[in-house]
Amino acid sequence: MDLAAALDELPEVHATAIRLHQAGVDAAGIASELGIEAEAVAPLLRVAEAKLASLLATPGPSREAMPDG
Amino acid sequence: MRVGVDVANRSPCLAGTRGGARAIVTNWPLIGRREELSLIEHSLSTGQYRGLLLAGAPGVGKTRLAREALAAAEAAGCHTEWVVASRAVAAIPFGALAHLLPPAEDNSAHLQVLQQAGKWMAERAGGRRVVLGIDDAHMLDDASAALLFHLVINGIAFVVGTLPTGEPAPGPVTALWKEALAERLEIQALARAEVGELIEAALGGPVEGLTKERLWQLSHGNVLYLRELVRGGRQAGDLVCSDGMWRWQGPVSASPQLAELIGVRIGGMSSVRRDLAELVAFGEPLAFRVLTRAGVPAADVEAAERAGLLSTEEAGSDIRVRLEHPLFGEVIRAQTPQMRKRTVYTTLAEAVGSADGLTSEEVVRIAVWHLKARTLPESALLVAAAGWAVAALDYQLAEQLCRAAGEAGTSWSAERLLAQALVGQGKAGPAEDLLADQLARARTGAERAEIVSVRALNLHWGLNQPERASAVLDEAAARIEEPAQRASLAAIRGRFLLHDGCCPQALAVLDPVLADPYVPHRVVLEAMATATMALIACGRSDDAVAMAARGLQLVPPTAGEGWLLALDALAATQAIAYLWSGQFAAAATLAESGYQRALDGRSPPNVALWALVRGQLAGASGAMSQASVWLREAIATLGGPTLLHPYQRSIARAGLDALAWVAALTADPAGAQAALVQAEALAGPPMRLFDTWPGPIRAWVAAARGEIPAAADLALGTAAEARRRGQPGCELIALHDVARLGAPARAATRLAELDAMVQGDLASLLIRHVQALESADAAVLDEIAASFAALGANLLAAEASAAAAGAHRVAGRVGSAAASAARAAALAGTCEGARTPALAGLHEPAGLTPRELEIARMAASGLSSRAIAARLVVAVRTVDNALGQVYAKLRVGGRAELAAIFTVPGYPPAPASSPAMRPAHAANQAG
Repeated sequence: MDLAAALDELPEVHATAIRLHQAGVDAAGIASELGIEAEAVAPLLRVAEAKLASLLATPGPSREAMPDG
Repeated sequence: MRVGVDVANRSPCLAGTRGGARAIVTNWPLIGRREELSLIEHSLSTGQYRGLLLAGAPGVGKTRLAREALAAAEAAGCHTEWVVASRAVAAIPFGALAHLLPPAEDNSAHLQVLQQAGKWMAERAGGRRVVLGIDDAHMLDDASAALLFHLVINGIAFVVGTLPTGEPAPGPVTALWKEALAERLEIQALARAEVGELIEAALGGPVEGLTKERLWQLSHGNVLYLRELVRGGRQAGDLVCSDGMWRWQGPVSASPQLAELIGVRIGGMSSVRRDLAELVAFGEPLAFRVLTRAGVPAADVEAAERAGLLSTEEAGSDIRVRLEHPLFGEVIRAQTPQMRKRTVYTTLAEAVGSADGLTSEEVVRIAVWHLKARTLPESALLVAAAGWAVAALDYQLAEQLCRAAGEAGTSWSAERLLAQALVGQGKAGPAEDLLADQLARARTGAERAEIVSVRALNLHWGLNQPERASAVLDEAAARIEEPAQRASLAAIRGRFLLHDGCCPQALAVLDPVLADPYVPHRVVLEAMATATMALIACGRSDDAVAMAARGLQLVPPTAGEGWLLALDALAATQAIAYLWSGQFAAAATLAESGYQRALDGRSPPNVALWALVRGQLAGASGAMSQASVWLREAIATLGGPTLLHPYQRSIARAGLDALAWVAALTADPAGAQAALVQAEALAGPPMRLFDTWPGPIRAWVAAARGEIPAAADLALGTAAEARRRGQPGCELIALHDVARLGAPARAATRLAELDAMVQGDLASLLIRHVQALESADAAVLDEIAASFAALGANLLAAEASAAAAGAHRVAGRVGSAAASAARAAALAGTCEGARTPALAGLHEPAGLTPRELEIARMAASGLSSRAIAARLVVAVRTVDNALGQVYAKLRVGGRAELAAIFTVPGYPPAPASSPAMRPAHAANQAG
């Protein structure tokens, strides 16, 4: 499964946390965006990234592999 | 990420009885929490933190996770204690932890209690590490919270607590994560796929895709709500298992228990807030500007959002407003009095309808709200809405809207849409009356062409009068001159020809439609879907792929729902074309996205269509259990035996045929026969296409009964019929099956002729497979097996490897035979219970000479020594001597044990009565 498809499969909060983190937003910014405590960001990201890694390792659709038409 | 549940290989409907299981679901498995558990275990084991607080929305599964963490700790040798804080004991100092404290002394001060509690707990633990679980830690009284902090900071206990996100907690509890003594982990609701897995695991069998989608949409991954929905559905008899597939029938409503749970969450509402909640509940999602037009102040929306009743999200230049959870809407709608509902519907219709530039979706919603409010809008609005309802295949709603439009004033457009709505619901008689009357009143060629198209479909499929349908088309064609209008009639005629199995004729009729640039795109798309199927049957799979691709480019990028249906029909045929051309991966990708699109659009006919395609793909790949689940979903989603629309009938027929094929290949002749009987029972005219498409199904059913010679004869008969009808594609499949059924010599000559007539890598491979079977060329068979495996056609790969093993064995190449047999066994192992005659050789013992093997096989099939001797033209004593050798080598005591060795589990041994029908490698040996 590719990254875009895997992010779509994740629970929304996990996907948002990863996207924000990848965009360089710090813990306070992520906490503010998600409405959670700043101290909760690091564990949340650890779980989210573990879930993402698991999805990326599974066979599945790839956006780039879509046939023409 | 998920705890794996192999639903396909489980007994369907395990947790309940067939029909209306009402038992309560218990012991739901833990799914989708592997990473959270891993973090918890890490936190427990490393010593970096002294506690872990699990936060999340009510019902998300925090308590279950905390319980699992304590169970893991206990299993690791820790001493565990479980505490539940609650409002009831929150006013009593140490109320929540009282049972963990030493006997109280009258004048104990809090400080003394804290000190004694630590000692007492350590003594109770007997030297083991203490892990303390606290559910709803935010409700701890101040003294208990202080004690908890004391236990943690002094390293006396590791705490695993739960608390709801957003709720204030006592200072000592908050200090746990603020001072980095404990981690705080926010637990999320399950993802969509995890919800599906959980439901299937809980119900113990496959669940129809639309039902999973519905439960996902309602629960949004909240495990508590999901459990209550499932429990309520089973108790009410709405969630039932039929033909091995769980399915929700009728509307989903919140059970009293669920309503109570939601009621607690929503809390008491002021009348102003309730009015707002009702507007959103009946109209969600609503644009904020609609609420403004309905007179709702922005401050009310803000307050409701802050209270957790509503949620908002940006949508272009506006804000979209929903209830915070979909189930809030279920409960609020159920609690709204009847008269108030009418007021709400009227308010919504006026507020949405007062804007300019309404979308098609808004037009339908406004019309429906008017119907529910029993107010009569303008006829034009109802007709427009009916048009969209027809395009979305919601014929029942379309009929209601058309009849309401009729009350608002007779409209020619409404009448024509009503006819389509009646045809779509299978009300063929009233539809024919209406259409005949409309045709008599038609003034223009365009009107005539439109009416005749619908009427011909209704006559053909609805009233089972194909000749009359054809006559109506002929008559109209004689009167209509405009090419574009004639094209729409040709598209219908092409479809009739395809379903009648006349594929070249269908292509000939459709050619002018496809070549005319002035024909409306919708008509072209319909013609292309038909032509793609016909091209596949004719063996032109590459042309079929190209045709579908060309058609899909005609769909506008911003296509609405009406276009999406045409897109799905064409995309599905493209997926089948990919399959027949050997592009399995492309077919699977297309099918997966198509299925998801159909689920998102909540379109049962399209879900059924894509489930059918996915079932056919899985079967072709050898994933037989998966195929069976997909095909049963396709059939169940169509709603059982009463299929009304012709579109649905052809899906059902193809699904039942494919199900029969899958059952036959998995040694279930009774299941195969039952599916064939169901297919026969479908109403309407015979769909002769399925006599030959996609192959000789009945041959495989006969093979499953052990009638291998008859099976090969049937496959040959199908091939002859396909040849007669000009379907080289179907003929190729049938002839390939003849070879798979043990008679490659009977197929090879004609296949050599077909080679020049068919397209695609798969076709070439199938032809080479048969040729290699006939010549018993082990090396080529090994190579072909690898090519099949590379495509993803594991069953065919396994069969080719098994045949290669047999050919190597006959040639005395023991090592190569063992290697090919091992590959065959490995590939067959991925085919989920597939049992075909070509795999039978895998189960034959090694170490016998070719002659011994031949005699042993005959003896195992029940032939006497005398009969074997007569067949082989040798002395009876020679046979007995050979059998003696066989018994000694295999260490068996007689024919009964021999038969057991030669019988593939679930598959009868091939009778040795006809030399031509022996398994492939036996025939090779003879050749």
